[in-house]
Amino acid sequence: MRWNRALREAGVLGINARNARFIARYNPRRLFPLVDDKLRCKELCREHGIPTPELYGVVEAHGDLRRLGDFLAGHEEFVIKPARGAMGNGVLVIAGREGEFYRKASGVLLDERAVRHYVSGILSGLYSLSGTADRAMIEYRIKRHPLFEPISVGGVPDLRVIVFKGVPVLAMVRLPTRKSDGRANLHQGAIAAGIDIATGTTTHAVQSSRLVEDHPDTGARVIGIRIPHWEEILRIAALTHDMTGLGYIGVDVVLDAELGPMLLEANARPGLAIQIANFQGLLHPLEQIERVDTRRLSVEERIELARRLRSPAPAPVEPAPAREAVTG
Amino acid sequence: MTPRLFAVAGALVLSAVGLILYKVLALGYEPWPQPAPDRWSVQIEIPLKLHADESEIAFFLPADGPTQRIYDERVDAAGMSFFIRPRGPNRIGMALGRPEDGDRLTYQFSVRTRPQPVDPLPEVIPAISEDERKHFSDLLASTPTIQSESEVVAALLEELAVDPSNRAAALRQIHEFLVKDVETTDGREGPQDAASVLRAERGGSLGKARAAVALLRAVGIPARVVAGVRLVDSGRGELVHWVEARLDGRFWPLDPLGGALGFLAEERLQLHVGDGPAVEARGAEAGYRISMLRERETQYQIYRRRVSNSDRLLDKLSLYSLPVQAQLVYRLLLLVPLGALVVAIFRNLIGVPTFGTFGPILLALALRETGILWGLLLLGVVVVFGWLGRQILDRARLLMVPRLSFLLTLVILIIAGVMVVAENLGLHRAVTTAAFPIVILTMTIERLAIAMQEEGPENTAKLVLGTLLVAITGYWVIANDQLQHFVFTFPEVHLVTLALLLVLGRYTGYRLSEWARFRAFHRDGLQRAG
Repeated sequence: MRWNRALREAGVLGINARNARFIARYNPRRLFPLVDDKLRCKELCREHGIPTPELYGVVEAHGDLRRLGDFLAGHEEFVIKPARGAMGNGVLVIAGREGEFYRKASGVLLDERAVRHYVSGILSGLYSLSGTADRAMIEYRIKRHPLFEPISVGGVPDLRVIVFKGVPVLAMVRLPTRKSDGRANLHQGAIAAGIDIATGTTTHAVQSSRLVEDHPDTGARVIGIRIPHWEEILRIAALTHDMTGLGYIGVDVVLDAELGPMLLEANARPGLAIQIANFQGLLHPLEQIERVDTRRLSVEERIELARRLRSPAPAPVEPAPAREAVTG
Repeated sequence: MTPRLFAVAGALVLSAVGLILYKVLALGYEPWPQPAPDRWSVQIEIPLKLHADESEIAFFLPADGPTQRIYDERVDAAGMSFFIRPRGPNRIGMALGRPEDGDRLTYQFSVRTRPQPVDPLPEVIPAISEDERKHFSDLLASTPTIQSESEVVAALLEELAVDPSNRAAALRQIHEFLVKDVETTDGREGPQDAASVLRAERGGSLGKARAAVALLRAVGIPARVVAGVRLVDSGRGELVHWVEARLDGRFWPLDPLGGALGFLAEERLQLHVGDGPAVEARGAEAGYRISMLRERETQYQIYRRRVSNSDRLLDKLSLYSLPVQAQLVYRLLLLVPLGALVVAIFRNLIGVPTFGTFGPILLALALRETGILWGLLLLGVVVVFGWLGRQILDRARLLMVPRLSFLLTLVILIIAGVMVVAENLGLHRAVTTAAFPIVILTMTIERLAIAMQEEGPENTAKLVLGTLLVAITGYWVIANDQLQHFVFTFPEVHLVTLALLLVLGRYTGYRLSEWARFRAFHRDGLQRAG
């Protein structure tokens, strides 16, 4: 079939190949809890010196709900989320207080009882995919970096870096739109902008698999944006591999206006849409990295390797037919 | 890794093929269900047109005889009281009551036929004795439709020079006369009593049978008309009549339409003795339809018999050695792997999203019990009402386990409600739906609600359609009787299923759905928005 060959030549990674060739081979099952449980992940990050949003408190059980007020005391803004939530489900963002009440990012006011009920839902596993009991985390609310101000609506954009054997391979930034209801969720209509690993500049942007150049709500250009702290973001992504031992991961990094890049979470089954955002397949770089023993390389050497992969002459063993992005 | 996997898969396929070939060629198993040679399932249908409030319907029920055995009788008397009474040599079914106009009586049964004896008729049988005449007076009497004492009968016997002193010869002569000299019609051209048929020298099946009986009785051969149907694969039966002559201590069948004396040309079901109508009705007009089907199911019984009498290891290891109840379960269970294979193909080769992995297969099993149209209808009603309930429930913000339990209860109540409504609408089929997978339905509704919130209506519609597509395809596989027979007779075919799953499990190529998802890479690049 011709389309089949065309996809293979373009180096597009399909779901079956991702699962069988990369996840099954490079992600040992026993390591999954390290990333599926955000609290364990945070703990590991502290040990490895990777910055994460500050943890204000953890509600472990319904008995702790009485102490919720103590955890929240002194924090104007915060985020409550389940430790094992998936795809950003169950995240409650409190943007401020008004007297007795907590103000959600949308402006809706909640009293303490409502917040407690919400946390109780998290504890019962309302948002954990397996439906098992969960814990609720209360943490620092990321402040949107001024650079992202004109190109996102609602929530905070996040950066996704695919890291294979410690080498960053592809990256994108997910920009919330009105259509995606302020969430950085691609299939709800957030914009995905591919980032050139070497320069940290956005190259293409797609919304629902359609090429866009401007943010549909603000009109600001979304390509050609130079992501600040790019070197540090790549470092965090590469370190996350060392920290978790997972060979094939998607690392989600957020950029705080004051504190810089922070690891939000890592995903052991990262999605494939990043290929569309970059208009570049994952398969060729993955196959090249597969032939390199990266265990002896330092973080800096791996990032250097990542840069060379993206450069026009990556000296591959078999020349990959590089397809230029067609614009228009 | 992969070559070894292919070797294992190949070995599995080869052993399956080897075992199946051995069982077919050496042990004589049939790959496909064979029609049972001697078993038929017959249905008599009597549609009613009412004249009065109170009706009484009487119709003949077949009885056991030397060439047939009746079993598994079932009757649906349309709400009338039904009872069975003997009448002479026959059995009749009586239905009394107040049916509604357009109702129908149905009487179903199975019949196992036995070969007719093929003894030759003795050359000489002497004239009738006084004892015999007394004993068989019923079979010798002249009746309004069988006028054995009429002039036309006497004249014919004289013309044919029939000699009553050798009744065997007389029987042959009369049979030959009716077959050769009396024209066969569809019986609608005129009166079908014996005298009329003999005078016109033409008649239908009933008329010729009556004529034959009249002639036989006149020469002192006790005889009677028999009604029945030919057992043929065409399905629709037509009443035929033939004759039984009592000679030499037994009844000899003869068909005045053709065929040898003492032997009927084809397998027949005898319905009743006598030349009266098959159904009598008071207060109503009763139709009469009879249809039949060769039974195929009994292949299982044939194998079962064979397996229980065999010393061969493979026969002993056969699923046919299980008790019948367990066989029924395994006949179905053995199709589930095929359903799972369908799921694997749809998910990994085509990329069709579904709610849950095996949910669609459990739905397919349920559809098999209910029939596809009714099943899908029920499914739709339950899911729509369940989802509406779930929407309202969402406001209560229940915790997960109580919420799911609430939903489960709701689903059961909805199904119960649908059953009651269906029963009242006269859809009896609905009530057999007890095995509907309630837990799966509950989880499907829950997932549907979550998908609606998290992924939006468009993706949810894809999930619903994907689930339906896989369930219907799975149904099509699971509901296939031929396949069921094959898999049950050769369960080793699942070695092939395992091999296919092994190979499928290592398939790292693209899914068909990725053709659309990544079309930018094989078409003309990314399309501009707007």
